[in-house]
Amino acid sequence: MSTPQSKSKVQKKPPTNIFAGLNRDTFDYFDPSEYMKKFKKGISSQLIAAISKDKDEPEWMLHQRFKAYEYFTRIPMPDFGPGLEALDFDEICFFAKAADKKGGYENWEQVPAYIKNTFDRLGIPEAEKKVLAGVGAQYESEVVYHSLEKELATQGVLFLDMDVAVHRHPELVQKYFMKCVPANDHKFAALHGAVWSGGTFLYVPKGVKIEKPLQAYFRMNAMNMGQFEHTLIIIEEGAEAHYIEGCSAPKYGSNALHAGCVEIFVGKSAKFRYSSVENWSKDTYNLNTKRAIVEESATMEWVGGNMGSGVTMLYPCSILKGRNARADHLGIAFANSGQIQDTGAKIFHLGENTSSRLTMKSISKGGGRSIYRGDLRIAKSAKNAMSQVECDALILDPVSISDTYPNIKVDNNSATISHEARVGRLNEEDIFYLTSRGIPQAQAEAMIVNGFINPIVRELPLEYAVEMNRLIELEMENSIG
Amino acid sequence: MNEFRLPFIIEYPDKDDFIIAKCYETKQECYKLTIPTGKQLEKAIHIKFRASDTPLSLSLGIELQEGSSAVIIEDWSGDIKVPEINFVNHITCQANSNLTYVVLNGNSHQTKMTEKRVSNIASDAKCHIFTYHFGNKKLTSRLIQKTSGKGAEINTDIIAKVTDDRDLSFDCTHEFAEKQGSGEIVMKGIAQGSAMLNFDGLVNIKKTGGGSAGYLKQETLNLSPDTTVRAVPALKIDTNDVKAGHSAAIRNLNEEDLYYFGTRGIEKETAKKLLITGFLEKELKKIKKHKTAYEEVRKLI
Repeated sequence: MSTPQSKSKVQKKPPTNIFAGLNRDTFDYFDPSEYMKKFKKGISSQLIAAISKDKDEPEWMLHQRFKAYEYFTRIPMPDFGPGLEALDFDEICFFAKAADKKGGYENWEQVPAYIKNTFDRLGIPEAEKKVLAGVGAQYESEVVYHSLEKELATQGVLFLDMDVAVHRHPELVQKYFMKCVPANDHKFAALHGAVWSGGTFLYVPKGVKIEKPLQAYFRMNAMNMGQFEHTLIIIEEGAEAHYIEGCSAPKYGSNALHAGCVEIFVGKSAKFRYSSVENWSKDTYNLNTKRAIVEESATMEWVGGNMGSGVTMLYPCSILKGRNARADHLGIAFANSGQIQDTGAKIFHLGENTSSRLTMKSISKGGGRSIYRGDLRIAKSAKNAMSQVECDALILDPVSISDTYPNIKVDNNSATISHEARVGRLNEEDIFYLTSRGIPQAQAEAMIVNGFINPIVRELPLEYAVEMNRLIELEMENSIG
Repeated sequence: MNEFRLPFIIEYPDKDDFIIAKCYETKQECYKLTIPTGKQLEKAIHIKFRASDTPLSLSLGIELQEGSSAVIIEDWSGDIKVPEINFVNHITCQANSNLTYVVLNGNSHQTKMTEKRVSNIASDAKCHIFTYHFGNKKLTSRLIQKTSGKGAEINTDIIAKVTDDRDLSFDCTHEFAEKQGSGEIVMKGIAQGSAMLNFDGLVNIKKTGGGSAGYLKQETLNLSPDTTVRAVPALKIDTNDVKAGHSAAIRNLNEEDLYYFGTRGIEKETAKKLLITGFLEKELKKIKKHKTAYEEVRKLI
């Protein structure tokens, strides 16, 4: 949609739309990475010991890392989804530091200029000033900046670099760390457990309600980088929060790997929303694991956009453990040329009267392949569980592909489950209507695609909805590399 | 003709309307029924299987030659007691032919059965397969319908009722390999007792299948707290000029409906039976015009 109209439209957007001016250069720009000379590629037990030593970790964490590494060597690659044969672990750098400041700087002015410039281009400091209650920024393997509004800190909210949390709050971390996603869950959970570095620790005490969202942004800069940030979120009884994650990396034409892990514990009657806009470069294998355990009467909401990566395998999971627990999953996946977006959701109903709703929209273009993979299970104990799943797929040309693989398993007769999916192309009548009113075809198509994803985008805060729409526009223009 | 003993009885008034032959190309006992070019059979061919004390391994081919049409009933109901059945069914519908194929499976609840059914449907031909499963201790059913010519229409209705500790598993694929194909898979089940019921369905529109429309519907009534029900309604779409979709629903009988019947003096068990019949009614109506098949299915229900 590279029309003069669209460009002028972007330029006219009010300045509060922080992310409206994103373009290809924003993501593809990379800083010099001289620091990489100090770090080797490949994974070994020596590397794991070195990571732990560098972080001055307690003994239990080192033990946990070695246990995870043992699982990694034993567990086979996934036997479903996209082929991962081209992913060469010997060619990935599993740990690298661009700056050496434990826990990150507390002021953007202290962050080395070349790193700060990258985050400036991505709009993170500006978003922090205008719409966020706290920000974490990770560059390669470690966090370079972290902040939290003082008022929230005085209420007992903890929003820290994960490495720092291990030292400052060892009891809390040890109680929850990799208890939701155990290291033997699958190969990439094991890999993550062995080499994790950086990430976010968020603790919201009982009854505290955070109105503004908190954000963490993860940036890979160097070639063949691997990023393995760990996000651990504990929302205590009756508390409420919204956390946003963003991520990106430049394109080098050589593989990168992201195998992060998100663990969320939503306490009784608490409410938590996790939003993410993933825009890794198309060199990247995004093999991320995200899971939440939801207690009695609590609500977990997932809002996700997967635009980047060459191969994505990502299925956010809600375990509805307590009575009346609820989960909402909203997701968008855009598979452009050369991309496989294998995304979906897992929802396990364990408690009585639990309910879930899943809405997934996918778009395939230029030979891209989008796959919805769902796993919905209703346990015998989940009496009167209800679940509603809707998947819509748009295929924009004859060479693109859309697959849908939902798995539904029900072990009791009081559950009510419904699932619907539709696949099709853009409605020609809609395009005709718009073009007959003078709108160029490409722009008309982009408008229809934006309308298609609108039910999900509108769940994001305005600035991030603008970012998501802009990313879709860039994909429609083929401008993201 | 018929110089061999068939493992089934064919009921049809004029046996010159079709050809039944034994085939020797497979290790499995094999027969082939052919409807000649242009033959339009008005009455249904009713194939009734015999009881057997020994395991049965059998292949049955059906071929409708160009422009022919037929209704064929494959009947495993009645007092059919076979310990184990391995059944293969190949259907070929040549251009412009029209087949309605009805499977009535009401055999013993002790019988273990594996069946594989494959169809190839040519240009502008139609094949509608109805399978009704009320029998078997354990059933593994694989059914694949493929369009092999432009404008072919393939439809499959699978209706199953499973009770006690029985285990029925269905895997049905519609593959659209040629342009402007159309059709629907309907899988409807009723599960009771500690039974297991698996519905795997797939609509696969190939790159060469532009202009095709495929739909998949799965519905299960889950009537007992000890049942396990699994549904996988999958789509694999390799081109954009398509209409495709699926829906799946798993639920119990609606309490409000039962209450409605109750307030009108209808006992709960009777109300349940009525609601179950209603659940299946739409699919039953599809074969109402084929009187023999319709009456046999009603008997099974």
